[in-house]
Amino acid sequence: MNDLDQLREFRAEIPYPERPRLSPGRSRLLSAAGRPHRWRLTTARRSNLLLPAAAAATAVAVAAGLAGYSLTTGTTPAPRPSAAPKQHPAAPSQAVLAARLLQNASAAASRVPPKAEPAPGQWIYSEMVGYEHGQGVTTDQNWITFDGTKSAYYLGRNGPLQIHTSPIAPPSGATGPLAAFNADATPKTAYDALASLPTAPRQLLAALDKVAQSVGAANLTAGTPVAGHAPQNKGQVEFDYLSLLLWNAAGGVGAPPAAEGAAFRAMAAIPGVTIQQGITDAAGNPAIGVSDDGGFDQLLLDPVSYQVTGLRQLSTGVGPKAAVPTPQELAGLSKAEQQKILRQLKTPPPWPRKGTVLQSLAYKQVSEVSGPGVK
Amino acid sequence: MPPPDPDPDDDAALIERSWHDPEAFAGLYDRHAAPLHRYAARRLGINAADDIVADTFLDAFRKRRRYDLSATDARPWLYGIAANLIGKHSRAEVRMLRAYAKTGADPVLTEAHIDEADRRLASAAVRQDLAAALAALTSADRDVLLMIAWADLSYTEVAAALGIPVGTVRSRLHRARARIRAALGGHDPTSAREESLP
Repeated sequence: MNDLDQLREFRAEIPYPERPRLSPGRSRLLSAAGRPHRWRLTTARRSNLLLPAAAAATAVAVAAGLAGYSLTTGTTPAPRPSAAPKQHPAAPSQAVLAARLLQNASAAASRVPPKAEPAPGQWIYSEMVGYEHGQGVTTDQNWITFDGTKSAYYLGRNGPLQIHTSPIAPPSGATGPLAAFNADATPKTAYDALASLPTAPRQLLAALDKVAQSVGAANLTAGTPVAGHAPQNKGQVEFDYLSLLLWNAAGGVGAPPAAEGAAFRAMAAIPGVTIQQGITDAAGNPAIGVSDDGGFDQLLLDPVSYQVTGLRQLSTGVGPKAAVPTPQELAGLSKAEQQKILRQLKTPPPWPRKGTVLQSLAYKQVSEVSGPGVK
Repeated sequence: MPPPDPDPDDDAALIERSWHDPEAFAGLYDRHAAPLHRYAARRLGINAADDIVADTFLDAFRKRRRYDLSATDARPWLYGIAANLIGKHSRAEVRMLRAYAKTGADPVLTEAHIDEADRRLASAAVRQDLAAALAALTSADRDVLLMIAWADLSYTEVAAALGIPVGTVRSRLHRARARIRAALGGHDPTSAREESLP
């Protein structure tokens, strides 16, 4: 037995840990991993637009924010505040300001000359900047076809261009443009869904409510990009759904101008909508944040053109709850060890203080191009 | 032709998946937490290992986007992160080793472990000499030696874990083993035999 062999014997009586012993650490990890879930879409297929499967290697913050959401997550998202927080009072003047801004956005959108809907195979290039608290800023370049069936990205900084064909077939059995969008969010389904909505605000919101009721409001809104927290009322469901449509359309060629104008007008009619001016998006550009929960989850608009440019989520100061080990997992441990584990679980991990930007996404550039790799 | 997709089972694929599905990172935990826990427990005790492992994976999760996907085995990366965390307890580690060398009672072992230790071949005197020798190493040398002896990492993997050249790994290991051998000299006449390591 040489020195290394003897060393290998040293303290070798210490066993590999049992699973319950590792459970709190795993819970802490899942708790951290669960943070971005609150921005996720309700189905994996929706990620086709904002996070093409192909973009996984490079779509960093974007990916963390918008990939498929699993209900089997071990963490529970923090509750959405039921009332506006103190630092974002929804005073009457705020409501007026918000309505005025959204009416301006509507007017600006309506002034854009209409264009023909792109062909399904039209390539779109997008450069997106993502920020995640504790992770810093990342930039992501992607190509995707209008119908979302193909996408492309560069593997690494100097790597080859990867072109992927989506394994998911375009929706065929969906009844209606909104159902098609719910089934598979692509630039095209978002474009078509917005184009299909009534132009009068009340009718438009009623159409959204109808879909929300048919598929379950929770399913529609739980993972919407501006719904970091579950919506507490009908207005929040409507706002989240509209924001989701606009954001997805913004990743393509936008919506038909008249439809986008109608969407902003309808948004202005939702009670409790507020704005925050003088902020910057993830790309460092000036932005206006529009929100329906007092400013925690915001849809970002360019202050001049009123185009949708980004999303961001601010901390409410309350983090997600960690999963508690099952009695089976705790069985077999001494009382002292069980108490230690439960004590650790009771102590929530440090969470950014209220108002801290948790995540932020911004489109730096979106343009129609002749093919993948072309900017 | 695009390059083939990475092996869906390797660590790099898991980490890449976690970029868009953060929970996938739990797969890395399931794969490596137990051996990492045992490694940390052998250095600092079981209770400290709980925190080291949890903090290692949290830190790794936060850094996952900077992971070099060409490295299919994440162990060097994880042990490197753990080494930094263990390094913060260096004084406690040395104190416990010295206490063991002096008293024959190893502070990192529980009673159950001690019973098991007593059944092992190595005599108490050898173990105490080993503890003294480990305590006398620099923390840098101890990291290299124990990553090879306890974590079964290769020279190259230790170099990657600690961010040092392979030549430095060799020299540190050589120095550390020389001291261990010197400490064990009175107990093991075969201790001068060299091992072939990668």
